[in-house]
Amino acid sequence: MARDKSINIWQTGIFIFIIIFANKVLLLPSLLYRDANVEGIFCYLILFLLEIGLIFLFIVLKSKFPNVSFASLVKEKFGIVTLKIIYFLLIIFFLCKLILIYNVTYIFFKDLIYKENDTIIFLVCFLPIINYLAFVGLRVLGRTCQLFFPLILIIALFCVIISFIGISSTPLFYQSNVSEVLISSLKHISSFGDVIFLYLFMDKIDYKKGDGKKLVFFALSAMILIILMAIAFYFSYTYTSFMHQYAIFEVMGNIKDYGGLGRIDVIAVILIIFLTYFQMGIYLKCFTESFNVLLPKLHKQYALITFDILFVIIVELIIRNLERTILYGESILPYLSIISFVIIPLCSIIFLIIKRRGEKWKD
Amino acid sequence: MERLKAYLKLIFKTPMVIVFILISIIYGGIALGKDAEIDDYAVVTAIGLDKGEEDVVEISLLTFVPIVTQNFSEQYEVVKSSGKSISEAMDFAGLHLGRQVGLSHVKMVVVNEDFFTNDATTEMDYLTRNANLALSTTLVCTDASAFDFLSAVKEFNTASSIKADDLVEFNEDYVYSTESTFETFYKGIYSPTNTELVSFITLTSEDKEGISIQTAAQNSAGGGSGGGQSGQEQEKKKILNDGQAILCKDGKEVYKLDKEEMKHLNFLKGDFKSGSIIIENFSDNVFTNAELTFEIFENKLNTQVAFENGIPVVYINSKIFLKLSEAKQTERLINENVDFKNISNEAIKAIEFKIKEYMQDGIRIMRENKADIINLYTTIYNKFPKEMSEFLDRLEDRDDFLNFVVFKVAPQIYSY
Repeated sequence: MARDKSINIWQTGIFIFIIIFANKVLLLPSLLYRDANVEGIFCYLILFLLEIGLIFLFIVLKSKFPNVSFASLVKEKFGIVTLKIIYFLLIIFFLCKLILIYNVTYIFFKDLIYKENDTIIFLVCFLPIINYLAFVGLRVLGRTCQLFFPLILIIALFCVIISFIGISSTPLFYQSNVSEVLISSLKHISSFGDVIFLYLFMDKIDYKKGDGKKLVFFALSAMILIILMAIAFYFSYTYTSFMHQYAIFEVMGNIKDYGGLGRIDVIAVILIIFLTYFQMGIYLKCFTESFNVLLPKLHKQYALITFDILFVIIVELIIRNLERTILYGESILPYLSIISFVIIPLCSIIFLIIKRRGEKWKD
Repeated sequence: MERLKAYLKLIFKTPMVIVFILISIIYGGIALGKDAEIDDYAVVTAIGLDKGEEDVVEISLLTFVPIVTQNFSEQYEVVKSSGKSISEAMDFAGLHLGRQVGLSHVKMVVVNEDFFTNDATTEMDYLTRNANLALSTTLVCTDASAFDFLSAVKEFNTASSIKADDLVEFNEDYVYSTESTFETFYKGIYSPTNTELVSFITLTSEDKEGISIQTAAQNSAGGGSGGGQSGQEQEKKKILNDGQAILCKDGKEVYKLDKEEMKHLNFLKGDFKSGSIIIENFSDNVFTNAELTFEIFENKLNTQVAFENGIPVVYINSKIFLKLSEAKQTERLINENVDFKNISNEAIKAIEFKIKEYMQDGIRIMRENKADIINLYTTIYNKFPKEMSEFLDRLEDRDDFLNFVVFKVAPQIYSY
């Protein structure tokens, strides 16, 4: 394993924290309330269980195949055609997720701050930086995330703790039944399953025995913070939770009158900026990795050029407003979650079964 | 020199620096060359809504007028326009102003009482959908024309540091009034009992209570839809916020509460910080037929629910911390060895009795209007979902459930 292309377990944990926390704190709480009322919290719990399952599966897979990439495992057991199909699907998956993340953030900033600015300005601000983050080595990306992680963690903790000050009433419980919770979970499943990036970087993570606990710790920390924030959001806005689209920003705005704190919702804006950049950077890195497996002879700059062209076309032509973004996220993306929640885990389970039977693998 | 060259070389080898410089040059240049925002936007700080003839909506916009002054005063004007919908009226207001109507700085929306004769949520739909208007914007109902109201408000905003939304800033703190924003309004409307209170502020004549600053509110009779100032007929007006509120169900006004009734309800709601309680004709070892005024310093409300024989029983325990702030009687008050601030047991009993009366009157108002102002439905349902559903199923009119709920109130008074 080339050291300049590998990341240590702490950096991996930070990636997990950022990826899990990032796209669940803006639109999602409001959408879950719309579909499942306060019981939307159970949607989080159900989908986080699946996400934890993906992490455990990765830990087992990594301990059984410490220095092998996921692509080589697929290639050896399923052949080159299956490999190309799976990685083509992964390219689509990451492209679509990147479009969703970008649009949610773009609409958030446009609605609240930059009302006059169009998407070109946002593209200029986002694309070069995420291209750069994806272009540089994985270790550089890891170190950059590591550098900013204390700031991200402090702001995230601050936002979650302070949001509890705004709680003034109790929402109405027992309004949604099990089927509503499950349907809502399925509808928003695309906001979860982000940890499959681990499988793509499987051979680039320095992993020692017992490191799995650290990964689970980072994942659980992010999940607990998200659930706490959702609880604070539902208890702050109760019956009007569906009217407040940007949860972490809104809960901070709700407490502006307390303790002479002034307008502290801008702190949430800083957090959103950091999270979006890093999440998009990690996803674009996954996109280029998948692209290079699909077309190994092409340099990764072609992956970035392809991404930029597709991204700009889709962003410009298809999704421009909140309604269309929500429609896209709720009706198209859930189908792509088959990749993260079915195909990748299924492949991993097959590899583990084959390994258990004692079949030999080429290293 | 060599070092500088090496440093510049290093910088230009880093792609992000080039991107940063490019962004700075392109967008920095564009931003510097842009017109000031106030050249494109009219900064509106308050909106007034009136109903005109034949379903026409009249809007009044309290608009900030940027003028160079040496005394830090802010200049405002009220611009009026009308249309078949608020949206259309806003467009016309933009035409009158020669700018786009910017609603990001709106702090207050004043709505004429007529809007609440039908479902006000549909009437004000534009304001809810508008992303620029925060849900924390103060919502106020008035019996006067909203144009007149804002014309009076204009005097404050122009000539003093008191702004329109300051008038109801402390509503939530006092026992006599209620917090009133779009947020609280919609929270009530979307609650299971669809009930909410909206602050009611009136315009009064000059010799009555209220506030005005050299006010000369223009009579709306002369105000056309052409925008700008209109009418020369002057009528001095004062704005009076004395704690009144309108009680809305499904967005419609069902009852108007005066400040005393608001006070009684607030002892059940519990979300106030200060206020006074007056006990008349009080006698004990110290006082004889005195009128005692107690100032509330702290209020803690604890509502517990239980089900007894299928009927919800609500226990409202209120802990009120107060001190004697004023005493009047015919004889001399401060006697030797009398602690002026201490409250005797007799006085505590009298206050408890008074607060019980207030609470009972609050319950009466809620029952008569079938209005669950204190959100009891949620409290009971969250604790006993099955029992509450069965209880409601037995009722002919589910909205009337408060008439079948048993209330047990127990105020406790503590000397501060």
